Amino acid sequence: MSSIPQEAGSRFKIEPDPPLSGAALDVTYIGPAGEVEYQVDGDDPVKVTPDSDGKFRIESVGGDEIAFSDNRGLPGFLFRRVLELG
Amino acid sequence: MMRTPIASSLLAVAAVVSTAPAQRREANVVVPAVYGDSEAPGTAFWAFSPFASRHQLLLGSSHLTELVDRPITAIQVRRNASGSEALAAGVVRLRLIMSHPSQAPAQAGETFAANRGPTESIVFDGVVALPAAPSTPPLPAPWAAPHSVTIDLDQPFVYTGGTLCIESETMAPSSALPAPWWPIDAHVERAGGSSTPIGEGCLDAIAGIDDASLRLGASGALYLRGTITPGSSGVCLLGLSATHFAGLPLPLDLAPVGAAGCWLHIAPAASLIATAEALPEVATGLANVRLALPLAPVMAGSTFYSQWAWIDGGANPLGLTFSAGSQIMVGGLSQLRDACWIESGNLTSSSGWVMRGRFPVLRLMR
Repeated sequence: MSSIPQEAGSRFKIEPDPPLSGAALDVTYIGPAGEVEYQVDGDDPVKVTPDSDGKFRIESVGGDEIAFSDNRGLPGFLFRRVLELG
Repeated sequence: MMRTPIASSLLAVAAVVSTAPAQRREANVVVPAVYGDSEAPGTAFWAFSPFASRHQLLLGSSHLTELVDRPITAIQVRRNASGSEALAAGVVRLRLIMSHPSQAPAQAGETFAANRGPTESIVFDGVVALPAAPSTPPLPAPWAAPHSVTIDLDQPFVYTGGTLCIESETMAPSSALPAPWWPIDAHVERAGGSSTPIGEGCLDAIAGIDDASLRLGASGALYLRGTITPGSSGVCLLGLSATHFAGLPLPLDLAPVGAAGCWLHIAPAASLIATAEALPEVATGLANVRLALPLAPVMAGSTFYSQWAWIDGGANPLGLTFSAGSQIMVGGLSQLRDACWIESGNLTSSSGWVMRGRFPVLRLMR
């Protein structure tokens, strides 16, 4: 479990939080959208279909920032800065 | 984390709720009944959302035969067990309102007021404790703590037959506590309709459609996301053809009317107005519209088209930019008949998304 409280309002939960550069990121989405997106910096959004428990994994997080969206408004949005270690 | 007086008060109230002696139950009804002893294929927050929200669950009489003329004294939900993660304890401030709408769930729409019955009863108004639950629970999770949550109603509600509306108002979580994260078991059908992009747009934004929402009787979710200015407006054009418009072949070059580089991909027959909202920390805006898809079996598999036109006075002499088009095929009926869920992530909104084929598993206790 993340030791950093999730701010109110998001359908997304990530582990670890904040994400670590180069490390895998486990994402859970609880909401109505069948497909969600994540976007690293200014790259094109990547579409993902979470499994029936709302989970998907990003094998290696890159970039400086990552944003998740279900394109239905603020509750379905999460932004994080990627933590660079070492 | 340091506990503030507000946090301590909430936890104290929650502890009282969670440790209150269980009332004797004569029987109970699980909706949908098929999940009484089996895990449903999905998960949802329902009223335990980590954000302020309003929900209406409309249950038809076919689910509630055993409850007629009997009081509902509590509502129980159980955790999503297949997710297997440990869940942290939390609290939710919640109000539940019940009524008997005159219409069946099939007639439910996006407007909350139209779905309510003439006489409403506030049956619960307080704080609900969400217990800490261990990882890898039994499958399905038992109908007992810490795998389930029981909301003992302040006032029993006598179900007299017909449709039952359970409306929930979830308050914004206290800033003194972590937002709750307690996904519950839910019936979720994955298959919806489908969509296919048509051509290119002349604005830096993606026109998308949530295919899972394209189900008969539901709110189709269409969005535009990209470099659109928060607060700016436009329309989502809807049409029945992507081959001809006013006798002219499509796509139609819009350069002659002052929008060089833009194309009309569909024949507009209707439109829905939208305004872009800001997404925090990123230089993008988001606009979306809810398209009420009729609950008419003859519409299953039918096709229509959409394209966004966005007001941008500085973009070209026409003052409009255009997205790519989309071909949209509507899916079929939900397997879960005689029930409907309407949700808004804004507590003050007068309307919400109508969802079919998605429903929390509830245990109504009497």
